[in-house]
Amino acid sequence: MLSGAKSDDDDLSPSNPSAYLSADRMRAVLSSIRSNGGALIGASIVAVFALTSIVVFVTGILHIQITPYNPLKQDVGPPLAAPSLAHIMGTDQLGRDVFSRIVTATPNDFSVSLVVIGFSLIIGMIIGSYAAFNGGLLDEALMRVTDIFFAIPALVLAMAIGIALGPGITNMTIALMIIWWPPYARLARGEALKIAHQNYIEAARLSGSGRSKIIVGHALPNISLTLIVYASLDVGTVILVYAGLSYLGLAVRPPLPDWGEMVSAYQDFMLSSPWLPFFPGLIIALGVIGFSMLGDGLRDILEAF
Amino acid sequence: MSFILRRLFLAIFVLIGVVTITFILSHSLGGDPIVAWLGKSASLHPALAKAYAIKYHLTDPLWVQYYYYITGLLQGNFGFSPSRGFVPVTTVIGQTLPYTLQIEVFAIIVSIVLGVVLGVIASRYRHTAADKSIRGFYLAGISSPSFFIALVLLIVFTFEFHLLPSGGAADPTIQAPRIITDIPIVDALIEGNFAYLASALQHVILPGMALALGTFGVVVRILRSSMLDVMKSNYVRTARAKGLKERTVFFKHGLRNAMISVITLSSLIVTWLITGTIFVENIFSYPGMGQYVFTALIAQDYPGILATTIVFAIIIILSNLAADILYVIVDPQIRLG
Repeated sequence: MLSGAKSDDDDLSPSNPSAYLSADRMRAVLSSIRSNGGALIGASIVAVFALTSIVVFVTGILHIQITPYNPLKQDVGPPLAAPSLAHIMGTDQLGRDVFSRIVTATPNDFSVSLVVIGFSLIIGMIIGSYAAFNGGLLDEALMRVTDIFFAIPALVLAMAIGIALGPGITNMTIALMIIWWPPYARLARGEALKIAHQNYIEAARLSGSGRSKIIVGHALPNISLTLIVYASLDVGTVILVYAGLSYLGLAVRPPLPDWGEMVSAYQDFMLSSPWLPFFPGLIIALGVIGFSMLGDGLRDILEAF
Repeated sequence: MSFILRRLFLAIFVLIGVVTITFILSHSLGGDPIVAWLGKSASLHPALAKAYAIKYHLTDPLWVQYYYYITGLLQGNFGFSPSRGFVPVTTVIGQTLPYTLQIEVFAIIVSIVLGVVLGVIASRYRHTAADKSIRGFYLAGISSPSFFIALVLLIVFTFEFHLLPSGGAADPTIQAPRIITDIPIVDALIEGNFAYLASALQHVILPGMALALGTFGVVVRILRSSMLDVMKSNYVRTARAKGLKERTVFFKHGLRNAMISVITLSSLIVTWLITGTIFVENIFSYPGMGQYVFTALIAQDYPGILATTIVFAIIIILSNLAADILYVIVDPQIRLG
């Protein structure tokens, strides 16, 4: 069952308590990614976005222009020009090149989602597993706090925090970090409870390991794979919510480009130039599809172990 | 019964938490709310600004404001909405909620029907071209931001083919029905005002579809995977061994049991739809709560933000509760107690 894992188990919640990170396993996982079509397509899309982000970020620091035109410069072409060889995604109302603007905005969505997911993963695993092993008040408090967070739509809460902090990519990242970790803590708690009474944990306890040592040394490695799979499926959701905040004008200030902001700024021109809001919207969708396919594939593969 | 009572008790606790968290958050918003509410007249008439600040308890410490808010809330008083000319928030909610419910209900029906039909096809013809194209279709839907789907629908169905109206709740030239239930479509139906009913339904289609196209994929996905589990189960093997037709086995034994997982999922769909309404109602200038949230946030309308968040939370909590109860009713194996 190493390779050719078909995507038959479309279960939404990844649950595989026995999955354990090790070099052998990682090699086997990588080889099954190669034989899983969906995961491969997803991984390729993610790779293109990641590479673009890194290149744009590095060249941005070095002040090298890699896009065909300066993304901020106006009148590099006629205003509202249709897609052509000179401007493959057309130009906007100020004569700026849309393709250059979209490329330049790539690191925004990418870095926000990675920071938010990385933070939630770490905080969630620590709080969740401590709650599971300690029980008592901490456990109860965690469950009730997550109940509350589950009842408020993430976007509404992020909007409220975002407006309190003021617009900006950093502030939106903070807003998303505040609201994003509770599901991770809950999932980590559930996974940690599953393994809490397994023999190797008991063995570690009997051999005199302290609670912290058991959690860090035995519990975290065991629950990490399940959480990583959940996280990989969740990256797309962060991109979508961030795009929403950006669409509402909370992320970047004009004239800096950002995908969500571009859709909302260009939708006024959709009667005369429908491609203007279409391209940035399509790119958001493509990025999310890439992460969903990669996450789906990863889950199928890991569940086959 | 004790299970339902306990869930209700928990729901009230969650609701208090929601009120507290949103209260703290919305009252730490940057900027001076008086300036946002009164505009230029705040600086022109400092006495007026001060009178407003005192009238709405803005000069008191946060916990005192919280006390006023909670006591008001218990009397059904959500305060006044500065972004709507200081009309009571309950009035604004009363005017906007019915419209949001109209598109939400439409979107839920479409997502579940579309999701179940495509989910059945996908699981019946697994690994065929049909299964794969359905997967591509729902993946595109789930992955697209709702504002993008809304814009694409608007460009195609309104601007290109002129099939459906671009926005609003109904044709303003048509006489609206009398208010009976507060929900215009239902009122039109009761009154027999079919001109309005037709127009209102036409105006619901695009925003509703924009929401449903983003969520039906979740139904396809869960139905397909639980069909796969169910069809491997012993009772399906027994049904086959009895010599029942594969069709009967698939629909009567398979689908009926797989539908249980769709029920639990329906509450999750509600949460997603609510997030989407904020964008979709704005794009289609639909006069619902999504649009109210949007304007309230920009205008720093605390009472409005708080009230809409609470109403959204109540909708989500109630749908969670409904899903839990339905789950127990549908599946006799589950006895949560």
